Amino acid sequence: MPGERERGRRPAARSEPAEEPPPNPLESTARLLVRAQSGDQNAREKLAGRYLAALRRWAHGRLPQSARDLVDTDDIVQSALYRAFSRIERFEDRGSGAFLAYLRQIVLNQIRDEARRARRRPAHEGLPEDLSRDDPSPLENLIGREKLMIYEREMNHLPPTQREAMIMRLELGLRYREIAEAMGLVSGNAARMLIARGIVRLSEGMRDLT
Amino acid sequence: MNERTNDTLLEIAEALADGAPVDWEGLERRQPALAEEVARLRALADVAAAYRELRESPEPETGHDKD
Repeated sequence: MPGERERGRRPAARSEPAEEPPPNPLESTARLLVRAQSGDQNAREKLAGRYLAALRRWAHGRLPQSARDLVDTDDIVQSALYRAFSRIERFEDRGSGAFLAYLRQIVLNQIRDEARRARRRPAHEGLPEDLSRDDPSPLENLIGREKLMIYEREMNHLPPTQREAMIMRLELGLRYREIAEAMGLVSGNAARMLIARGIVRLSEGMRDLT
Repeated sequence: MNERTNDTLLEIAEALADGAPVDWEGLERRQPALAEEVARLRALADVAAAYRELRESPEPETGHDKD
């Protein structure tokens, strides 16, 4: 059924120019995962390559300056990918883009470790305690810590499928077609609607800020 | 929430997800009954815009990142 909600709505109002087929058709993430889990190195490299640039940019925005003096985002992402693939056999694919969320979580954990390490380094001993502890990331500088915390809290209340689609779009900037492919959705427009509904749902929890 | 209200919010949400400009003040003026919902979406738009800005900023250098 074409959805009561969609009735009367303009179809694909902001269709992406990038909905054109890519030069090399993408092998589905699910298929690559199965191959990677059976030890196929080529599949692992393809998977890593698919998300490396997006994760690198994402990590750059999350890493506090003090930690950036000690380690760079490339190292963090490479190391996170290594960790992810070293235990990929144990990863359970929920068939909904969960792999990218899994990678994102590993990168985030590693960033937190690096931030903790940076706080403990001797160079920070001369700083007032609150300054060394509250070194914000570029993202926190732009959004504000409180708003970011509320956003993340509300994101965690969404159903996993919707949350993962929104992370891919809002945080990692993937195209709808890529999100649909990663999540096994029928089309880019299906991803667009899933994300739009998720945004409305998540915004309901942003009331603390208004 | 009626269907028309929901459609309006979904259209704003689509624009937000696409990084398209939204006339927030105009929306609040034209749809005062939705002011609260629009304000919440605007707060979320700030988050999405920050992520977009960081994505579109120059690529981090290799070696230790220096801003």
